[in-house]
Amino acid sequence: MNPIYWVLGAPLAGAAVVRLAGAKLGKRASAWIACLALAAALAVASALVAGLAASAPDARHVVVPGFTFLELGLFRAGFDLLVDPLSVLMACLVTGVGLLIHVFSVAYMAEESEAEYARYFAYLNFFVFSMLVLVLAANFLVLFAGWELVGLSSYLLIGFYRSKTSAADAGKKAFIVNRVGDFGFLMAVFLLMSSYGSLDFDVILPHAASLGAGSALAATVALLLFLGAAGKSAQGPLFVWLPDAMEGPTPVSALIHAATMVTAGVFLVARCHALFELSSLAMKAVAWTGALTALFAAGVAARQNDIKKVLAFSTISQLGYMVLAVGVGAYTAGVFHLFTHAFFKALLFLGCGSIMHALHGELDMNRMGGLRKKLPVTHWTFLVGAACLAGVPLTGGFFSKDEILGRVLAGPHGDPLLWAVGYATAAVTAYYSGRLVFRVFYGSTRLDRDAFDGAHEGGWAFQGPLLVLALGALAAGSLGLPEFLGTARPLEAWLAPVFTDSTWGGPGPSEPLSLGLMGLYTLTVAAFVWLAWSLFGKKDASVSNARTGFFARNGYVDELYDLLFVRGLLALCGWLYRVVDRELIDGAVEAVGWTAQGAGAFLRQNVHNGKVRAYAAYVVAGSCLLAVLVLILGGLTCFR
Amino acid sequence: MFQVEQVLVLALALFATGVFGVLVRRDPVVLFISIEMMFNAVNLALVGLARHEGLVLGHALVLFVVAVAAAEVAVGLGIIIALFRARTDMDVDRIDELKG
Amino acid sequence: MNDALFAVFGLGALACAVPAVLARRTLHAALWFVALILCLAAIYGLWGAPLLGALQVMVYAGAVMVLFLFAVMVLDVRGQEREAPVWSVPGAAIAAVLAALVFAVGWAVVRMGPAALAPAAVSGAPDVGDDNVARVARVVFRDYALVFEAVGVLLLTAVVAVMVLAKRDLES
Repeated sequence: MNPIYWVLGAPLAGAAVVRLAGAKLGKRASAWIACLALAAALAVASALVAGLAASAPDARHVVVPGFTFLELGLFRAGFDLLVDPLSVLMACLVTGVGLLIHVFSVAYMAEESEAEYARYFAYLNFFVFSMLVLVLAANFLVLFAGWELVGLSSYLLIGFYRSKTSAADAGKKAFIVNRVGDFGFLMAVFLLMSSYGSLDFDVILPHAASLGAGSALAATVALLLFLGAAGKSAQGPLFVWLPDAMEGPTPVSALIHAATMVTAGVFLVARCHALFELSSLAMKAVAWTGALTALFAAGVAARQNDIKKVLAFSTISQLGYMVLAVGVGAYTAGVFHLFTHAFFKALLFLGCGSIMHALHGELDMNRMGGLRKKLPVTHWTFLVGAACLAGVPLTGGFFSKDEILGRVLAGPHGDPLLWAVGYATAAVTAYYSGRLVFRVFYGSTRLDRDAFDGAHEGGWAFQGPLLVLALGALAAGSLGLPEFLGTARPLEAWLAPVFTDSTWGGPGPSEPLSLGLMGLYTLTVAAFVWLAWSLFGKKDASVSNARTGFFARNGYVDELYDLLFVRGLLALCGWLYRVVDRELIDGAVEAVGWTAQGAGAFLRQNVHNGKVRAYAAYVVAGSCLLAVLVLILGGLTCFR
Repeated sequence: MFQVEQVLVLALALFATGVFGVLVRRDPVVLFISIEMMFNAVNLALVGLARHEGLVLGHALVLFVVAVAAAEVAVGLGIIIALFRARTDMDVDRIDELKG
Repeated sequence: MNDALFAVFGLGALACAVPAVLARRTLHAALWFVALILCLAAIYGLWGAPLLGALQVMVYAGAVMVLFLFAVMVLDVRGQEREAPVWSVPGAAIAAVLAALVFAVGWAVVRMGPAALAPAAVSGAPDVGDDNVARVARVVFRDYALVFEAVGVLLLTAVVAVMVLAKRDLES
């Protein structure tokens, strides 16, 4: 059996076993089964990486044909899986980060009942399975299956706390907004299906050009695919579900809404880059959407008081960077940032989880402060994560962000205006990262005495993953050091076979420009972090509780949607009920009855009058009619 | 010379007259007589066709028709008498209890 | 010769039919009807159905019409009102139209069948004296004996029905 099925099968089996039997087996068993399943998947995925590395670069594309789902003449759709550098890299990332989060969850969710504990781990395993299906797909069918499954998993996990109405609503919102994106995705798939007669990547992507470079069809397909990507990655107007998704347990936010599921959109564009490159209009749309979303979300993040919401908007903003990268053809840079972001964002979220655990669920940063000495491990790892986020030099985040911005400015399809938006975003990012760290860990505390004294670190299950992720975040930068340094760039080399056919790639900025940019970033970060320090980090720093203003209210987007869609739809439904249903349809039905009654009454009074002679007349008339009919059918031969 | 069309036309005329009578008259007995006229018209047609085809079956049919007509007259008159015994007006139109 | 006789009796039948239908007094209608029956009997005899002609006189004129006259007398005994000759014009018009329609349809059928109505080869012409009775008898009592029996049952049923009707009458 091909090893790839172990990668998928382990988490699926784990999910099934834990869901069905976990409550009876107890929490320890559930936790062990789930974590072991992921460990197994990770091991096999790593082996696949090794296997690919051992083969020649142009042979690193293996399709594993699977169960044939549908076969109609020449069209065949099957559950085929693809083993190539991009897919196994993503698989390792998902299983690796997933494993760390599972370990963290063992302690974080420990206060739940057996049944709830089991349900949580089952869903978490199921999510990992779904994400693996998505990234390992060899055709649009499997990819879409994975796409929908992660949507389902996300819904289940966001709404995990079933007793909270807000959680249930958030789950629904996520699913529905995703649906809008899925609509675009499906339309694109249908178009591809009609153009190519197949859904396999190996049939479509190498022959992307047959859609016609620059044609309306190519642009439509690309834009529709991007609509799907935007839904999953919370870009553009479809971002609204992500902040609400914070209702779910914090490790869920770490896994799904930071490291993996939301990156599916970026992954999609990278995978289908051949289709996107046919339309510069689509690419521009992608890039600008990413850039503007990044800036906007950063602004909103700077005005949030809930630590998880800050991170949620930060995620949207960083995803914007990734989308921007793939929008200018810098696919490797986008994936690089995806990689580093997975580490530091998961780290930050788990850090939040640790803080929440210490403070018994407190989320408002205005009520924290001075926790630096109380939660040392959390503090230092959080600091690492924030530094990566802000782009402090030499952290992983710094190199990946620098890579993106460099290509946006000076790459073959670069645009200085886009770069300016990205640069502004970086500045704001530095500011809110600093604000977050300083408000929570520095300055004098705003907690009451008991809460402050009682705050303490969690056990090794909390601290272990935090430390591992911190190391990873720092080390990840080494995968893509700038070109001019002349050192090896392992990530680029690894992903090269996937993107060789790209016509949008090209060399990055020259050495002097690169150095200059790095200097600029360093200064900017320092300046804005200092600004945040002076506002928030000192003792007795002022507390701002204002929830007013454009950014504080999330750009009023939710209100806009409510106005446009919700109210309009409700009004339409009301109208349909009152007018169409009650008056038109019920009226029509009643009219039928009324007509029948009227006709019956008429017949009863006028025709069935009980008079024999009238009946006789009817009989005579009827018989004549029949006779005439017979004559006519006989051919009217009487008139010959 | 025997021409079957003539006989049939005569029969039709009688029949039509009978129909007219059934539809127009209100006296039940006359109504009934008109019905009998229709019977006779049919008998005439049968006899004419029997002669034309050379089949005696037509005569047998007439025999049966006459028998049935006689039975029908008996029962019909019984009904008429039963219905109109207690009435002063001999008007079929007044018997409309089956209306609706 | 036969044609002349047929013309006489045929026209005579029509001449009796119309007054039978239109007569104001019930008794007159019945009498005109008797005349009609007799004309028809003559025609039967003319065109080769002597048995039927005789039966027409004996059964129809003799039994049925007598029954009619009984009914007329029973119903007339109390000097009931004659039918007011108020026929609604539209009613009469419709009746006339329908009657004409019936005639027209029938006439069309007659005209339609030149092939069916062409004079057959006169083989086995049924108008040979005694033979007619024998032949009719053969058909009725041998070929269609079952029908004959059924008609008998029908007559029995009619008798029973009339008895029931009369009985109910007596009780009420």
